[in-house]
Amino acid sequence: MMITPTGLAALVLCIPLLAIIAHLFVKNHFLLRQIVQLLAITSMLVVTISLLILFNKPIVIQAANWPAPFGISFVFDNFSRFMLVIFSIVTACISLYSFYELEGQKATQNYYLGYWLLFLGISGAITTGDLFNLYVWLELILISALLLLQCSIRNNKEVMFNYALINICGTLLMLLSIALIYAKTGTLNFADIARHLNQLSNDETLPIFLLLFLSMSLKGGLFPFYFWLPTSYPTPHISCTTLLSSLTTKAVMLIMLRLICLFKPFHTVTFTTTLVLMSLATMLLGVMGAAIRFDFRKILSFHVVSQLGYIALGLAIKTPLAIVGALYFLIHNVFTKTTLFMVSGVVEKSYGTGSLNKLGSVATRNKSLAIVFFISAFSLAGFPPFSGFWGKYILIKAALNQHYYTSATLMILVSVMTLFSMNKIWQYAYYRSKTTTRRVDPTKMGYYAPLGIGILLVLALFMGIYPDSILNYLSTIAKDLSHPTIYINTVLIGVRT
Amino acid sequence: MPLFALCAAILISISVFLLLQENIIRKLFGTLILSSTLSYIILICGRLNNKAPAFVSNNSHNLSNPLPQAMILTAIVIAFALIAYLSTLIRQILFINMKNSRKES
Repeated sequence: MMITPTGLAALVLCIPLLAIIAHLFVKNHFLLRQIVQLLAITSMLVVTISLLILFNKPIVIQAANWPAPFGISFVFDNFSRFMLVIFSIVTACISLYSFYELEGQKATQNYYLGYWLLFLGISGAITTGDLFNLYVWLELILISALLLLQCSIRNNKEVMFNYALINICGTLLMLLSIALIYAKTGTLNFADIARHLNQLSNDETLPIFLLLFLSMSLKGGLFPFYFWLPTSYPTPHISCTTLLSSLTTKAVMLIMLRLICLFKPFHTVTFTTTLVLMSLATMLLGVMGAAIRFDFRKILSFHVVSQLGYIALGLAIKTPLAIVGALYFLIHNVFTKTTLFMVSGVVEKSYGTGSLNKLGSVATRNKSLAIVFFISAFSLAGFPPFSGFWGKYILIKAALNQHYYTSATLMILVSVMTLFSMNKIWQYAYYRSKTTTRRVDPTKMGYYAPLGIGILLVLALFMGIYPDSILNYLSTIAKDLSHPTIYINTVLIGVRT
Repeated sequence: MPLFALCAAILISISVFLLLQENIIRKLFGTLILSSTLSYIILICGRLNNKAPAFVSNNSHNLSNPLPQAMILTAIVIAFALIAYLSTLIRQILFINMKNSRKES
């Protein structure tokens, strides 16, 4: 039996669905849940990696064989396939970590349902080629995020209400902009919209597309709308926080990248200026928010916001180099931020607190944890041998090439401030000698958590030491993305093999 | 057409007003009205000029647009689920608040 490319690509959307159904049957049994989870995530890894390696040409699934502008198309080009691989690696590590964290916790039996629903939403949202379908996937992501928060927040329901309300308003705004785009162009397919926009003037369409961008930035956590992010991320279990921080906002950024490259109104000066200002404000305010917090998780959550600003700046500059920088930074950030959150989770679980005032001398008591934290933190701050350096270096170089001197200066300033707050965590939690905090069960770490953290750390280190391995691939992706005609022809005319 | 747009504007302003209130029940009603208004806007965006039902009669001109109906159906289902979820969440919040205030008194 031959495996067709479209069949293999459809598996990316089928495996999460099957995993959800399987998890419904084994909800009450922890060991069976682990087995189902391992099977599902391994098959997901195999499918996404083989999609990346076996095929060079983009794969387009036309749903129910309706030709492109009429039906819904799912586009697995190099960009979405590569991102699916990255996301499935990270989620695999998160599920390893969740075996450690969620063991013996009754309330979290719905966690894996939310996990696979989120993965389904992400893979759909990245690959879809239809604007209304994108809205449906984003709603799915929102529902699964709510499910994840529900199974790990006990008392603080107001946080969930705020998260739900703000995100519902974001998706409704997006629906409004989709309706207006439909009224203006008469189609919902990305490629077809991009083709129709060439016949319309930018003045007509810019307000609608600004509305689309604003709703996306509300979901992605950019400057005026980032306030929901640092309040909701520190509260749930780390397994949920890492999923949300590494998947939801990053996926919205990736969709934004695709839309910005495709649609003509996003190439105007007005839009670029707006996005540059928003991203700079996001960077600065995120890192400033982290500077005054004194809790491990809260500091990290504010840094999530700050780093979204870097990615958005890459999207604003929009040269191929900047796109490479933004993607590299995104991947680096997914790896290291997840590692840092996991380290904070391990520290919290073994010392009973995440407050920097109470923690102390973790470095002497738990050396391997300190080394992992040190590497990831300095990678986040952008020190040369680590991956963060290359991301920031490429972004700054792209900014200087396009004469964004202020942005480049601010990027350097923000990374110094990142170093400051990482140093604060190091100083208080790890370095200072304070042995009064109790240590709960030092030996019960198991194999799963160190394995998950270790894989992510090795990948991040590899990215830092051999950046060429990934940069070459990213530059072909950026070249494809910056020529929208390639995408349009792939979807509308079909792939010539 | 201007009348439809005016209706949409009034409905949206009502929902935004309700969303900006402090009471969470009013926020819920705000999202409810906003989501219904958006269905209405999608309907207008699909053009209302045509009279004959699509796929029923054989004459191929003056058919109504079937796509907005499909979109509205999807949007209604999603909005219904989210609003049902929000109302249970509000119930839990009010319950917790009631318990806390009883403890204090």
